Parts: sequence; C-alpha cells; structure tokens
Amino acid sequence: MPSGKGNGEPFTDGQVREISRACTTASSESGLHYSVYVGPVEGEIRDHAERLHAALGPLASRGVLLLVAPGDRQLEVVTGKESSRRLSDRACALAALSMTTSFSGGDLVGGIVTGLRMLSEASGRELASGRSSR
Amino acid sequence: MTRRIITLVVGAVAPILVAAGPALALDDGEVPGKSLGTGLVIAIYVLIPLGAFLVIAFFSALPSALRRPRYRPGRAWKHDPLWFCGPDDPVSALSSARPGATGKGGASAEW
Repeated sequence: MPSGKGNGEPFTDGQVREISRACTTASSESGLHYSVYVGPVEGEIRDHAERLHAALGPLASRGVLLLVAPGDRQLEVVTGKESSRRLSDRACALAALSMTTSFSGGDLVGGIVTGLRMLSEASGRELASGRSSR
Repeated sequence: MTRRIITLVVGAVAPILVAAGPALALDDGEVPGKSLGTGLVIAIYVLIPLGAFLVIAFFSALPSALRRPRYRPGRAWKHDPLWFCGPDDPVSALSSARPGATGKGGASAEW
C-alpha cells in the first residue's frame, strides 16, 4: 500500500502495481510478510530500517522489511524473530547483491521484484529443508 | 560556275539551319509564368516547412514526454517515500516503533 503523494511520483501506476503484486505474491507463497519501503534514510540506515520493521506491529515477527534508499544508494534488509529462522543472513545478502546489481543499472522496479522473488524462494527452500530434516 | 557555288553554299548551310530550328525556339522555362503572390510564397516557403518541422519535433519528443524520469544512480531522490505492504497507518505505527525492538537479522548493501 503506497503512502505519500506529490513531488512527482517516482513510479508509474503499472510499476506500483508490479511491486505491490510482487510483495503480496512473495508474502502468500512463503508465509512471511514482505514489506518494501522506498525513500530517503533518516539517520543510520540500520536504525531506520529496524524502526520501519518494528512499525509492522504484530506482523513484525514474521516480517521482512526491505529499505531501498535510491538517493543514498543504500539497501537494508531486516528480518524478524520468526522470519530470521526461515531466511538466513546469507540468503538476504545474496538477494541484496542481486538487487543492487539491478539498481546500479538504473532498474529500481526490476531489482525490487527480483529481490522479493529471491527472498521468497529462499525462505520456502529453508522451510522445506527444515521440514525434511525433522 | 556561279550556280554551282550557290548550290554548294545552300547545300552546306540549309541542313545546319534546319537542324538548328528547334534550338532557336523558346523553351517552356523561358516563358515567365503567372506571379504566385506574396501570400502563396509565404505559405509555400515558410509555413509548410515550419509546419513539417513542428510535426516532426512533436513526434520525436513524444516518447520521452510520456515516460517517467528514469532513476539514475547518483542523482538526488526527490520523491515522497513509498511503503508497499506496510502498516495501514504508517505515521502512528512509526511513532511507537523503536530500532532494535523486532529486527533480528538481515543484510545491507550499497551500490
């Protein structure tokens, strides 16, 4: 759900729909709650990202927050208590690397959508391997 | 003798004159036509080229005018924040949120 209007929308309506769809698809496929924030960083990026993650409220435990700061060229992925068990930091770093590759080529939407898909697949894989090992 | 000379001269000059006949006639382009008039001259030599220029300029500028300004790494980002799949009321949700409360892991990257 995009919030904030004015000052020139960075994305077309189609692009907004594409990111929203990628977000809800990733959430429904993996059982985790994915959320993407695109905007400037206030202070330390990790602190800001963790604040945004905490703002997810009851969903924060299984929440995965992606903070994309195009102006600062920084990206932060935050996982919660439950989601960090399903998504290792390594899987997050791999998705982040793939996203920043797209971002550096000027493709914000493509990078976000790819990152969400990679995170969703990684969490599903780890869930499957967790189940089979039990 | 005199008759022979006249025959010789006529025989030599006559074919040349006959062949030069069309060359002596007036060409079509040498006949000045009707004047176009100032209005028509301006229309043909100023307004039509100007119109063609404007039409081509319009169509060449159309695609980039319809497209959003593309994100270019390194340029300032002057847009309002967008939060996809975020809380219903971001402002009140953020007011009570503090860093470190829920975040356990993740990753960071730069480009």
